[in-house]
Amino acid sequence: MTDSQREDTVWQTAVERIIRKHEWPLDDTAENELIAWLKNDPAHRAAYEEASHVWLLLVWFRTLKKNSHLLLFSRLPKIAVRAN
Amino acid sequence: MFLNQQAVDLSIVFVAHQAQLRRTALRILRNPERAEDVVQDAYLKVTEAADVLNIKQPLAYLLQMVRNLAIDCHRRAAFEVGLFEREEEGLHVPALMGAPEATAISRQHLTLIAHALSELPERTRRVFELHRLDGHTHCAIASKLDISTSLVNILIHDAIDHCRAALRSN
Repeated sequence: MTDSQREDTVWQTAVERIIRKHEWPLDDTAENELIAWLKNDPAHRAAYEEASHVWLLLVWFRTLKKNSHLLLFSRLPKIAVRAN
Repeated sequence: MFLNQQAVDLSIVFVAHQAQLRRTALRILRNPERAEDVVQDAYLKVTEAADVLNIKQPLAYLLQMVRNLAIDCHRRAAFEVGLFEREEEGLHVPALMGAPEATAISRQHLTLIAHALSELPERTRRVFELHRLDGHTHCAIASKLDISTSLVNILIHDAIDHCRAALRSN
């Protein structure tokens, strides 16, 4: 596998994990497995963070479109992955 | 018309008294970030409430709403502590799940996302919105749009990939 193929696989895995977590809350086994995957390689973490960021932006885009007053707040919400 | 007028008034009162509402939440939660989240939740409730009542004392109403939300948040936080400690312990590195700063949202990114979404093919966007924003499962989307669940998954991936590319190109 080339570097870019490997990077793509990691990215797709990160996205898949986020989609799954969104669809169904993780049980303990799945949660531990996710943590193990994240610890396994800094690239996994980086991909997961990036995917989480995209994921969260997508919801805030709609919320802000409906509630432009939110822009008056001192900061936009800091939402962690737990928001999923 | 009358009801709309009330709703507008309430959000104006809200913005005008933001600081006081935030202090109210802060007194209960003792955590500025959670307090801010609670204030924002309250604001969303105010703007989204379909049936705005004829509120004679809007500030008192808002303060009570913030208090209730803060108390809920406080209870939830106590419950979540266990989960977070476990995650952080497992990761040993700052700035991921337990550290929301890692995903601070910028207005510029929101603009890029808005544009990226508008570029998606109609079906892809529809599938993605049903999943991400409306919380439908793959199965529900598949039967609604008469496509396979694996195609639903592919289209969701496509949408996220496209948004990522848009953010990266910046």
